[in-house]
Amino acid sequence: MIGFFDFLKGVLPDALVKSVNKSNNRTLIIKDSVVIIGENKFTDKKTVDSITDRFYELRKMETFPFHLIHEDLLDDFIAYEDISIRDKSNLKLLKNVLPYDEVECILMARRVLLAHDKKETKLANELMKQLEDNYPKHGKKVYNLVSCGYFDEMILPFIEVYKSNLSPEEYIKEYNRFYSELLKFFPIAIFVGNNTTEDNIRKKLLERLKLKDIPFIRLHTIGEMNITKIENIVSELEIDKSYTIKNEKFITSSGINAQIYEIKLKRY
Amino acid sequence: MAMVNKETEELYPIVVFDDSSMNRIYKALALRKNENDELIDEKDRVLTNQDFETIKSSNFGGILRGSKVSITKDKLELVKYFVRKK
Repeated sequence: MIGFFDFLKGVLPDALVKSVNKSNNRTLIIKDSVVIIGENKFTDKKTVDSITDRFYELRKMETFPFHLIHEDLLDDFIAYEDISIRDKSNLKLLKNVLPYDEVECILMARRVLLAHDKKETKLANELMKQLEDNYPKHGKKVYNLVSCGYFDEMILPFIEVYKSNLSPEEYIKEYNRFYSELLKFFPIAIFVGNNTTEDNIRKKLLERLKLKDIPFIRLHTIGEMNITKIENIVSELEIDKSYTIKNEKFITSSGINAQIYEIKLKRY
Repeated sequence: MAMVNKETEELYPIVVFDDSSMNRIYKALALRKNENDELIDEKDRVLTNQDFETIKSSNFGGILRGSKVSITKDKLELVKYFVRKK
C-alpha cells in the first residue's frame, strides 16, 4: 500500500504504523473527534488534529497517496474497485473499443451481479433499478448478457476477432456496430422475465429457429411462473420432437427456481 | 516492508470521513463554502467533479487519488472513475 505509511509517519507511534503496515487494514476512519485505524481508536485532540493537519500539507501535491471517501460511498467504492481489479483485462479491452457510457453500463451490470453473488438481494434490486434508470434502453439486456456468461464467453472474444481481421480504424467501428446489433437482437438466447408474455416467447423463438448457422438457442429464466411460460411454449411447438434439448433447472443463489432450456440446432 | 502482490497492488489506502468530520476535512483541505453552498478553494475557485459540475457542501463525496478527482455522493461518479482510470 503506497504512501499510507509516509502519511502516518511522525503522527502516530512508529510501532502502530509498522503493525498497520503488516496488516491488511487500509482504512483510516475520521469521525468528529476520533480517528480509528483497525482496532486502534485515537481520541486525544492532538493526534486527531495532527492527522487532519497532514491533509493540509498534502493538498498542494498533484495526487493524494490515498482515497478520501465519505462513509456513504465506501461499500460501493470497494465493490467497484473489486470488480475493476478482477475484470481488469476485460475492462481494458472494452475501454479501447466502446464509448465510456457503454463501459459504465457494463461495469454497473457487473456490480448488480456481484451483489447477487453475495446474496445481497435487496441491494441487487436497488442497483438493478439504478442500472435501468441510467440506461433505460439496454441496461437490463446488458445485465442479462453479463449474468448468463455470454458477455465474457462470446461478446468480449469478438474484439480480438474484429481486431485481427480489420484495420485499426475499421475494427472499432465494426465492433461497435456488432455490439449495438447484439443489444437489439441476441440470436442465441431469449431472456424470459415477468413482463415477457407467452406470445413474446413464441415470436422470439420462431424468429431464431429460422436462423442458419447458430449452434443453439437458450431460454433463460427465473421464477416458477416464467418457467411455466417456457414449458407451455416449447410443448406447444413440440420442440423436443424436432430438436435435441437440454432442460436444466436449478436454484439461484437467492433461492429462486431457475431454468436454462437449450435447443441444439447444429452439430459441430 | 509491506507485502504487495498482484491482487493488492492497486489497493490504495482509504481515509473515510462522515458528516460529523466534514468541517474538519474541509478545513484540512482548505475548502470553504460560497454563498450558493458550493465548495471553493483558497483561491476562490469553485470545486468541480470530473464532469465539471460544482459540488454542494452537503453532497461532497470525497477526493479520489490519482488526479485528485473530487466526487459527489452520486454513485454513478464512482462508476465513471473506475471506467476512466488507467
